[in-house]
Amino acid sequence: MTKKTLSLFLIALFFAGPSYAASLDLQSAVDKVGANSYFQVDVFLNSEDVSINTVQADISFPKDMMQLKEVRNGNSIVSFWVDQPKEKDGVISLSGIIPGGYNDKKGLVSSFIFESKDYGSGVIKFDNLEGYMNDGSGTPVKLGSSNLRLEIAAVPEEYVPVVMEDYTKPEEFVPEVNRSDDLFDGKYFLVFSTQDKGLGMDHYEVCEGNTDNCIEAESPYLISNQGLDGKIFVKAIDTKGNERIASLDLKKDGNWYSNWIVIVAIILSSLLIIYLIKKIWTRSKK
Amino acid sequence: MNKKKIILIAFFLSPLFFLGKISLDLIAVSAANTTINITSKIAICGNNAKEVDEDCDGLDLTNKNCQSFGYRYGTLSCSPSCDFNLSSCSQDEPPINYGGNPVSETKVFFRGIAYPQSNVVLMKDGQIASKAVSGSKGEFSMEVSGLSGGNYIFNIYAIDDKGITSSSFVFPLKVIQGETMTIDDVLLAPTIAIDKNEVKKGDDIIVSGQSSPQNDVLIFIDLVNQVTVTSDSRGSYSYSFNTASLAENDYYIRAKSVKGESYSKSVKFIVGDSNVPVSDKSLKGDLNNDGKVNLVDFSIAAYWYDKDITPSFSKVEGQRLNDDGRINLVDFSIIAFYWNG
Repeated sequence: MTKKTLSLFLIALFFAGPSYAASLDLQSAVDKVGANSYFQVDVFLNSEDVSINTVQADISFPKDMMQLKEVRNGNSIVSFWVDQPKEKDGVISLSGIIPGGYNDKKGLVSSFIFESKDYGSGVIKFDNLEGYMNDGSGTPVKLGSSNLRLEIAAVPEEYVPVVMEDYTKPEEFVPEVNRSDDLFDGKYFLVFSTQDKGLGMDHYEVCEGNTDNCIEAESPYLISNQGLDGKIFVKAIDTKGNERIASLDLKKDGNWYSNWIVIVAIILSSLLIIYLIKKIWTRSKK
Repeated sequence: MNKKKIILIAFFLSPLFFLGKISLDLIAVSAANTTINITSKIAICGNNAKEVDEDCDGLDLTNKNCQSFGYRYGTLSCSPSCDFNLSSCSQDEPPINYGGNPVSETKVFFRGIAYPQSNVVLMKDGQIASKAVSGSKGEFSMEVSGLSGGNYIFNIYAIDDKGITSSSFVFPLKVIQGETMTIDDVLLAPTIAIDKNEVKKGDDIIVSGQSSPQNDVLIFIDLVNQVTVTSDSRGSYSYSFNTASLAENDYYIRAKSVKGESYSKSVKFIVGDSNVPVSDKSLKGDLNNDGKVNLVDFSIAAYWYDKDITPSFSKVEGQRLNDDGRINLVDFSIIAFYWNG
């Protein structure tokens, strides 16, 4: 097959319609790319003069033209994801919160790395946009959007994607043990979260006891060791495999009387002491 | 019985008192097991809560700072073994270097004005990164180190002398690897509180709060009424507003310093036909009732997101969230607003 070089033209379209104070925008740094090449699309929040603390969006793309290869959340303004960006049938869904709110023009929400596939024409677009004001009541904000129209055509030059390396570990974090009557039937659970300032977080692993005993987990995590008499490690692992480990030593400074050996030892020594006292007492009577 | 024997017996009896203490403690723990919160019974180094035999724990520095140990600058921290770490305390002023010459460590300094002797909290991406106690004029200086290059959202808030939390000063910042950046002139918005949730038309409602000392504070009552009051030497301000001119309706009050741009939180009151004092001081968004709104509350909400909630959690949702009987994004927005780490 003759190798054809294709071009992908990415043109931002500001759809005509009602004007909104705040918007979610799809942007790309490139306007030409060859076939079977990677390109990045970023989602930005422009809050205008409104402080927004919660956003949700569905982003659909033409599956016949491109394939989602990677989601990058590093450097996102979203601190905690309600729904991590995930793709299903050509639709990426995401929602998350920004404690304290975001009030600026260009806050990166998430980035997507696509691989172009073949000729075609289509639009990467938003659906089901939701935004809420940072006002304590969750007042909805009307969010506008700018979508990306794309066309694929043959051009002589080929776009060479910049593959970003990432040697940055996820940020330091402190997992926390807690319990609530409203979660896991009142059993102890672990919460944890951190950010990665490189390409973004991939997943977490929880290791109870030692780091050889790890399982992939999400927060909140129901602790197996409800006695809380050992160590718990949480590994935060980014998309390039860099990991940060946080540990909690539940045994340290724990209640000493939780150890039954100590209790038995104290009881036995006390019985011995009582016996000795009795003996001394008896002798003194004589 | 001679003196020697009495001492000997006393010596041997002392462990029995100890044993008695154990029994009482065990009984106490057993009783506590039937209550909601047993977390406080377990001393954990690393849970961000200072407990017995700990100098500090994580971010809980018991309101101490470098100045408490005789240093002029820097940030006090807590070691992994829950002892105070003074290694970042210094007598030398940190460099002012917003985007300037690179230094080895990536740090950000924040300096500004809160309220006299108030607790100031700095959050990094929604998690507490540093705490400090402001000076007599409300001045504070805080530092976050060990950062990576990248985008951060920093929030700073203060807690006034009545325990009321200010609105957050939010600062998105692109941190450059290896550089020290200083953000100066942070002026936190005044705190605000009212004495009644509902006020009888024609009666007074008292608006109060704390700001920097001798500071002009603008109070906005709805969109029409605006008054200026001056805070005292402790930064406290108070104003009694007569509601005769207001129609029976819902109103929102907020305040700002004349010198600053940031507004306080908005507080709602009703002008009606009776006086109802403020009674429910429960913190919105605080789902586990620990006085904090943080990742734990977010996690509880996330667990119930788009699920049928239990009757017991329905009560919590009604009191602490938007009372629509389910967990949705509106509830997460409420949690994000009240988030204090």
